[in-house]
Amino acid sequence: MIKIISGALCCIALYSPILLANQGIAFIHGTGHQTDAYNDYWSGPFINSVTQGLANSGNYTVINCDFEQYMWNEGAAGCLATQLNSFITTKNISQLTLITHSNGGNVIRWIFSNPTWDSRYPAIINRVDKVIALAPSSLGTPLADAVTQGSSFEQALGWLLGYASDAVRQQQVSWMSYYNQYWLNGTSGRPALSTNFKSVIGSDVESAVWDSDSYCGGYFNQVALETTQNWLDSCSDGFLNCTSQSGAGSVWFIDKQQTSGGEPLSHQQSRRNCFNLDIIIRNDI
Amino acid sequence: MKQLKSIVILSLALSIIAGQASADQSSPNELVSVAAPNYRIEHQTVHFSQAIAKGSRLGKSAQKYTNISDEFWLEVSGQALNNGINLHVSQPQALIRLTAKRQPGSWLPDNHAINPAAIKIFKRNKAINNAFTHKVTKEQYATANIFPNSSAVQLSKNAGSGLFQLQVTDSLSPHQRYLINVKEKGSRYIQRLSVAKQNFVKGRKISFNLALISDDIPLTDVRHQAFIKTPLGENHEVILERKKEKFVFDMPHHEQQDSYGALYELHVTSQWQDGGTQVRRDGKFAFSLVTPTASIANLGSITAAGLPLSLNVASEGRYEVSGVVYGLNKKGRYRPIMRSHSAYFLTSGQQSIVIAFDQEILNRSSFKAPYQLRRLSLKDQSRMAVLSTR
Repeated sequence: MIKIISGALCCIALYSPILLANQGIAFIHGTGHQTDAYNDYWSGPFINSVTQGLANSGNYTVINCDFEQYMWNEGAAGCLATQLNSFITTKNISQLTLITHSNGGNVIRWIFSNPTWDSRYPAIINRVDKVIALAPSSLGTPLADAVTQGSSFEQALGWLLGYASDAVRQQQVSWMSYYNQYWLNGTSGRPALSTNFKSVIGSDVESAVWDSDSYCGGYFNQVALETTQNWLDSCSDGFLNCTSQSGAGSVWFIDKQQTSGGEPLSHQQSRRNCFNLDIIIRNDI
Repeated sequence: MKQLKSIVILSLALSIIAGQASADQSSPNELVSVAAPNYRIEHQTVHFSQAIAKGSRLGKSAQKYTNISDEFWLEVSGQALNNGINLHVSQPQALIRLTAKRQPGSWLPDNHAINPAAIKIFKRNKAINNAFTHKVTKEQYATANIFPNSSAVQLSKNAGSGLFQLQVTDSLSPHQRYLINVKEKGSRYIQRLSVAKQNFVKGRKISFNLALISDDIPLTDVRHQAFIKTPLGENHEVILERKKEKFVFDMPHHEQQDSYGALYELHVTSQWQDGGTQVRRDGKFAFSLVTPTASIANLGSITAAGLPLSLNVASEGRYEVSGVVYGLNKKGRYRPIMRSHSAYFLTSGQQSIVIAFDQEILNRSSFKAPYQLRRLSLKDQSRMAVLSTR
């Protein structure tokens, strides 16, 4: 009997595509020009924890591209395509899971929505099994509008990780409305994406000097947040409305539904190992 | 079989011709020859098909975009702020954000940010006690990594609304320019700006809806001023013409700009005055202006291999044609099988190409020939322009 079972398991192992797949993960950062996203954007503990969910924990790559450019530019989607293809080839990846944060979700949606734009895109699309989109800016953010008001020659305001850039202009609400309608798939009224694009939604920001949870991923000044809230809905992660984060693909979960202690994830915290986010993702992989 | 084929071709042509017409769906007659762009463009021919799962969304035509504004912007000099400026605020507890403006060709020195402790507010020349509930410094904004070189004050409930004078008591560089953003969240006064689509063919009029609204009722005698911001950041005034419920304008003459995906913006300032009440709102929407560089000339006979077609190409570049391939189910009804895309780098002239279908997807599908191709789309990838969708 034991022999029969082990024989059957042997056959499953030989023929199941799931068990044979060589799975890999790519971490795709958000707005900004990254040269060391492992340390500067994600942090080692987050990546090391998430990749424990892989059969081979070394099968991961951390993308470093210039996401201050428009998503379609060579420095953005082109750079991402080169690095993903290199990872697929070098590690012989057959099943690729993408973990994106913020605007990184838009760059990958660009690749999926415009497969003929670049001959590097199809090989990526064919390997991806799912996209875990952490706080994606799918419908843009009113804060990008507030940042870029005034002529582009006279931009005075800044943004995450630097001054106003083309990527910030792209994430203005009416700009993303245009790109979503004519160039990107996955939002309401548009063709569905050909992969599972599932979002994690940050719904609130807690910022209090007496609450140690407020310091996970960096501290926001409460007064500053209260003023940025003037541009946002009551449900937001401090930068993006929940409607924007849930605007493409499907919602995997809203932070408090799965985080430890039901803590919300601010925009900074949704790329760090705060409140078991790393473990939740690891278990999904 | 021949007869069947011609029926398929006819039905294909009809389904394409019968597509709901709107400006972004039109195929302009007069094509334009423009120079090839300088940036890197893919030259390899790429075909890609994706199977369409049962019940999967295929997409609708362009949807309306609406912008709601409860804020306005002013630009003033450091000298004006030191002397005091008038601010008409219609909503108690409004947020006033002050930002030193970067000058062309230079980075902004940090010391131009205004210390919120130096902001005073007056009403009828009398200083208001406890005027602010919040004062946000440049350093506090820095913790959120947003709005550098900015500071803000939030008016208290006690300060109310109406005409205020705002003054900065610290000495500012007189010629330094500052942006003043007054955000009146929850205000009864909003500007509603909506546009049916965000993709227009160059040379055609652009229409949109616009109203300044108080408690859901459109106000009359509202003054609207508008300008276009080009993708390179230049501003051009536009004249708005009222046509029944809509506003219409012609794009102002400006030098052709190689925008490569960047958008134009229409900015509208709406102002209304009734006795002592003055309301101002600023809103905008983004849109693309399409240069008609190519059009679909003829459609060939559809087969399991694909749909041959010819393009009139006026401007050398990379063009993508795509559509949804339909086949017949057992009940004889057309059902979507896959979305097929083919892109080619083409020189000017009439060019014959094919939208190639994926044989594996066709073979896996239970849907049979004769096939149809619907939702035909032509895009100029070199200039990032949607030329036609049907």
